[in-house]
Amino acid sequence: MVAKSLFRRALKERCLAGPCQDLTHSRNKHKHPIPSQQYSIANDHDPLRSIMDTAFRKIDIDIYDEDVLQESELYDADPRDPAQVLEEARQRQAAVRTFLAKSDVVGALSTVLENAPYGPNVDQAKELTLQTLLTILNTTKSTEIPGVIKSLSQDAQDTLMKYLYKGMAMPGWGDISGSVLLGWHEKLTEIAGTGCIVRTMTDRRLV
Amino acid sequence: MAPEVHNLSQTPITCHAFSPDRRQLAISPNSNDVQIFSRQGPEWVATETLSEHDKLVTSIDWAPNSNRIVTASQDRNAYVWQETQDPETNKLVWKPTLVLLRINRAATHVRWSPKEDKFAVASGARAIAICSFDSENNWWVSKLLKKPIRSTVLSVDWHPNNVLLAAGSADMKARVFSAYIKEVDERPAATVWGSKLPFNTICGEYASPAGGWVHAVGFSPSGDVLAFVSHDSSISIVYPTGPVFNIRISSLPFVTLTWTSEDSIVAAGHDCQPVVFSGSEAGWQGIGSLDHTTAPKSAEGPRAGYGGSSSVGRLKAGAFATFRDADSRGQSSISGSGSPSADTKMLTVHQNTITSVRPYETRGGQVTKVSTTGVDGKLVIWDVNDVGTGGASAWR
Repeated sequence: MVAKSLFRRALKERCLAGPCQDLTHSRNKHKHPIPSQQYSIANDHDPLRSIMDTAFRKIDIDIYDEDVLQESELYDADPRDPAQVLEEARQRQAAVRTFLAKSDVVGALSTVLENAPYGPNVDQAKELTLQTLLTILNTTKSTEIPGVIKSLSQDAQDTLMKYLYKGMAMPGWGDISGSVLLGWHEKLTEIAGTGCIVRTMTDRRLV
Repeated sequence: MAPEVHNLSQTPITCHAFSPDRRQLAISPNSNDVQIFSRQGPEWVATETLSEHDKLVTSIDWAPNSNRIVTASQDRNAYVWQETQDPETNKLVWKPTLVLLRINRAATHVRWSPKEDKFAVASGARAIAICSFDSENNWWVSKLLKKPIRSTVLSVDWHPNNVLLAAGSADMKARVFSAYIKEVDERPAATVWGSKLPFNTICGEYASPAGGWVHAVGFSPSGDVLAFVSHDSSISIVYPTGPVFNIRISSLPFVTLTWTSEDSIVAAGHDCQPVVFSGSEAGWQGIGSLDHTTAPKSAEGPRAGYGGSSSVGRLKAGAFATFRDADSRGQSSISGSGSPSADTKMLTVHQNTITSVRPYETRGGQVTKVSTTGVDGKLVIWDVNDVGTGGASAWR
């Protein structure tokens, strides 16, 4: 019974996709790519082949749902312009260098974690911020870490955790060092608790 | 005073509700049945099973004045149970009445209104069914609150005026709606939430601070303040005309809460212990846990649980050590002579997530005792005023 209905659904979805081969393309071009001409099972597809063909799995069926929850509804968008965000990230990078020259790690970290870029269209600013943050993390002595973390605000601690996870998800990128990130992660979890990790997981404002 | 602990079930308890006199208790043992327990001395004895649902029962509420039980289930139905005399045996039995909910997804939460003439059923159909009794047709009918809910509604709570309803939802928002039903309600007086209140008026919408599902909502006893807990490990207290306080906690998220007085809240959840928050319009803070968890009982090595040991986040503790020993030395702490239970047993009274916390005893308008049930199958009754510092920083 279940297999049969799945099969039917697969066929239906194939028909929905219609003659367009490039599915993503068709999705962007037409809002409702439902062809006027429906393909019947008999003259178009061998049923067995339809099952083996997995292209239908890539169809975003959510676009046919008028009530679907959009990414933009999940969080309030950053009010700043992407260019402005990038400019601010550059300024922060310069400010961080000044702080590091004075070996003020707390100042440097608070600066870089404040108003961190999030959301779409700011990828360059995000990378720049991660890079800046990594220079701080990599140059801090492990004995200083707990003291530094304790003097950060709760907001900054949560943002730092987001960056640690982001860094761990990009092994080999820039000067990411897994052991450094793990060291910070351990100390940060001791101070800010598991709640901090939970917030990193729930927050859709990805850094 | 130590909390009263009862082991009711080998299965998780998804929800519980006490009878008005607290001599009886209805629970859902994580199945499609509702079990009724009766108090016999210090023990709880299972006396009756209400079987009518065919999927997991998600929520139970027992009306304190009219002595009716309402149950909601994943089978998309709700039943109102009334105790009636069986004509043949002259025994009192619970008779179900089906409610026409008109939802096409699971019912997730149910609560009687304060006057017990309505109840609200939250559901996965992005809607809340407000049910009232239609005496002409002799059944319960529902009216749906739909806009602007974008996802599953996880909890509801009634305002004392019998009209306003708070709802927490998986779209990360807590909302206050008007659930005014013309046939049932009198015109409500103006409150801090608004004055004109036709059905489905949105009187307030509040987002969780870091994008967590809102697991539970609750009005303060006066109804002027709203509290909600969300999956981003935070509790928020909302003054509709004043400030909104967000307290981020350092432990795992809460999933349930209850107000015990106008200035204090008990919240509990994945951290396995009920935590007390206290405050006023000037500010709120966590003041401690009802669970007097102390330092690990054994001196050797703190465990890696969440009961408040300081080892959270530290490598080489708990589970990590277990696996490392098994890997590098072929030691298994389960069969080993060491102290297996010390490492797997939580320090808290509840050994797993607390699924619901409810007022148990009220004196002079203040809740003095609360009851909790959890995934560990335990029912625990706590004295609200017995706040300890608990598991160190867990509630901070």
